[in-house]
Amino acid sequence: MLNAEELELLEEAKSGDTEAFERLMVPYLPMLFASGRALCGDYHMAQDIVQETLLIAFKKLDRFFPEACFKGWLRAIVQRVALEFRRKLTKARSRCSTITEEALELYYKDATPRRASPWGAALAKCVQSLQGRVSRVVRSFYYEGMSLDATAASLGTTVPAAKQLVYRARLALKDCVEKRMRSETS
Amino acid sequence: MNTLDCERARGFLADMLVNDIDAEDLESLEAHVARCAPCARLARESVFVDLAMSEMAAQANLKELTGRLRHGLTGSQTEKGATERQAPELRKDPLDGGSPSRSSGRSARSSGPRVRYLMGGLAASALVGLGIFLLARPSPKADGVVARVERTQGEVYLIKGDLRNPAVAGAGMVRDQRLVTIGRTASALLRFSDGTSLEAAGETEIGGLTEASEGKRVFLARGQLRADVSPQPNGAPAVIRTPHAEATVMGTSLIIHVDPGVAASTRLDVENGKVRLTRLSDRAGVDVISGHFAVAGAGTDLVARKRSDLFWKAESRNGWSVSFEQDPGSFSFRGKQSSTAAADVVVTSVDSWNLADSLTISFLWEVEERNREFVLGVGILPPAALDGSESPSVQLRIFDHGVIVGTADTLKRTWVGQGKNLAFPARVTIRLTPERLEFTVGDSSWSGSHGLPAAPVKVQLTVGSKHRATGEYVGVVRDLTVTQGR
Repeated sequence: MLNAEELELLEEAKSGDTEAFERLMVPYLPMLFASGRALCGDYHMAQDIVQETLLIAFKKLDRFFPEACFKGWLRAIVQRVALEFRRKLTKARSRCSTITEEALELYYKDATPRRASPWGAALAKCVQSLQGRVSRVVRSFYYEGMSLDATAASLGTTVPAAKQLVYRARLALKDCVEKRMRSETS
Repeated sequence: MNTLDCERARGFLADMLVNDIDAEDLESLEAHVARCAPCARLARESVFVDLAMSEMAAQANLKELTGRLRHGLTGSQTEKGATERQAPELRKDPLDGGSPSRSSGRSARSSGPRVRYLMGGLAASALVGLGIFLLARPSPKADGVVARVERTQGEVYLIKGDLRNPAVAGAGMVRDQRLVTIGRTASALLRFSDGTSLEAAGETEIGGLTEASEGKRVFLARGQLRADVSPQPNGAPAVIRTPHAEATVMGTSLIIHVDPGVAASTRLDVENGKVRLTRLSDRAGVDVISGHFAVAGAGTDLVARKRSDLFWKAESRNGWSVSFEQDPGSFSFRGKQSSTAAADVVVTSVDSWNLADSLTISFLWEVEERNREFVLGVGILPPAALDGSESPSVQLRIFDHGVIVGTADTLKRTWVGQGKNLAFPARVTIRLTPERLEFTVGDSSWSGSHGLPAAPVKVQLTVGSKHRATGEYVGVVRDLTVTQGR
C-alpha cells in the first residue's frame, strides 16, 4: 500500500505531473533495475527496461487502483518488459530460469527493501572489504555494467576465467555476509 | 538428463548467473536444484546477492536512471500532445551534463534515448542511404517475382511443388510458390515493390501471391500475417484471402489470423485505417476500423468489436444447465451440474486474447465427499497422473495459433498441487497475466512464468469431477466468472 505522501504524488502524477511521477518512482528504481537485470541478464538492457517500464507505468497510471500493491504492479510491468527484451537478445533464446524467478519473488516479498535490512548493510560492508582482482571484477561487472568479454579484457584474462571470478566474488560476498550476520547476532 | 552432481550444477549456476547457459543445461540445473536443498539454497542466495548488487549499482547510478525517466516522459508527453503540462526543465536533454560515463564494455546495440538522438543526427544521411538502397535493391517484379523475402528468422521455406528450399533474405517469391514458417518463433518478412510488407509468424503458410491490374492478392492458409499495406491505386485493392474470409485493403496496418481448429475462423485486427472483411460462406461483410477486430467463422457474429473486448462462449457438454451473462466490462457464466448428467463445462475465449491484459477465472468448486485426492492441472492432464477413486480436475488450456501451448513441457510445472484433504467447497482462482500464470485452490497456490509471447492465444477451461469407478460426473461448479483486467 502507498503511504499518504505517495498517494498524493500518485494523484498528481495521474493528472500529468511528471515531476510528481519522478518523485514517486525514484524509490522503486533500484528494484526495477535489479529485476530487469536479473531477468534479461544484461546491465545496459536493464536500463532500457527501466525506461520502458516507467513509460508504461506513466501511461497506465489511471488504471492503477490506490488500494492495490504499487510495488507488485510495477514488478509485473518490469517482468513483462524484461521478458520481451530478453527474447530480443540473440544469446538468450532460452527462457528465464525458474530459479531466478522464484528468488525474485522471495527477495521482493517483504515490504521493506532487503538492501535496507541488516543483510543489506552487511553486504555493503562486505563489498567495501573486497580487494584485488575480486574487487575489480565486482566493480566492472556489477557497477560499470561491463560485459564478460570486456571484463575479461580489462583484467587481462579469458572469458571463462572472468566468469569464474564473478562467481567467486559472489560466493565470497555471500560467505562474508553470513559471517557478519552471525557475529552480529552472537 | 537429470544426472548432474553438485559440482557440475554449480558450474551451470555460474553460467546461469551471467546469462550464458543453453536451454538444455538450464533444464538440468533446474532439475538438480529441485531435488538438492544445498544447491537450491546456494542458487537462491546467489541470485539475492546479484539483486542486491544490481540495486546498489542502480543507487549509485540513480542520476542516469532518473535521466532516462525524464527523457522517457518528455517523449511520452510529446506523444500525448501534452507538452504544455511539462515542467520546463523536462524539455531539456536530461543526459546533458553529468551523466556517468559508459564503460568500454557497452554492447553495440540500440539503447533507448541515446540512439534516438543519434537517429536525429543521422536522419539525413540515412535518407540518402535509403534512397541508394531503394535504387540498388533488386526489383521484386523481375523474373515474375511478386515480392522478395527481406528477412527471416527460424525455419522458413519457399515451396514449389515438391521442392522445398530454405528462404533466405533477398529471395524472390513467385506466383505459384508457398512460403511456410515453422515453429512458434519463426518469421519471415516479404516486401512488394511499392513497400507493402507482409510478415508471417509462427506456424504460417501463405501462397497465391499475385500483383496485377486488379491489385495484390495473397492467400493465408493458416497462421498469422501482419500486413503494412501502402496506399493502393483506386480500384485495385490488396486482398488477403483465407479459408473463411477475405480482407480488402486500400492501405493500412492489420493482423490477420487463421484458426484452423474446431472453431475454424479468421480473425482480423486493424491497427490503422479501415479494412473490409467478407465472410466467404455467405458473402456477409463488415468494415473494421483501427483499434477494432472481427472474426469470420461458423457460429460467430460478423461484427467489429474493440480490440480490448473479450467475447466468451460457454458451452455445456452433455446436458449441463448453463446460463451465460454478459455484463458491461465482464462476462460471467453460471452453471450447476446435476449428479446424473455426465458432463463438464468448457469455457472458451472465442476471440483471441492477446496477452495484453490479465485474465481472471474464478469459481467455487464443490464435490460431494471430502478427504479425497485431487489433482489440479495446467495444460493437458494425463489420465495416468490421476490417483484415487475419484479425480476432480481443472484444466486450463492455452492455445497459440491453434496449437496447445499450455503443456507440461512449456509450463514446466504441470501440477499445481497434488495432495490429500483439500477441503471442499474450494474457491479456485486462475489468473493469467501477460507474464505469469497463478493458480489458487483453497489454501494452496502456485505461480510461475508461462513464457508465452505477446501474441494472440485462446484460453479454454475445463472443469470436471468424474468418478473413475462409476464413470459418473459428480460435483458442482458455482459462480464461475471470467474477467478481463484486474
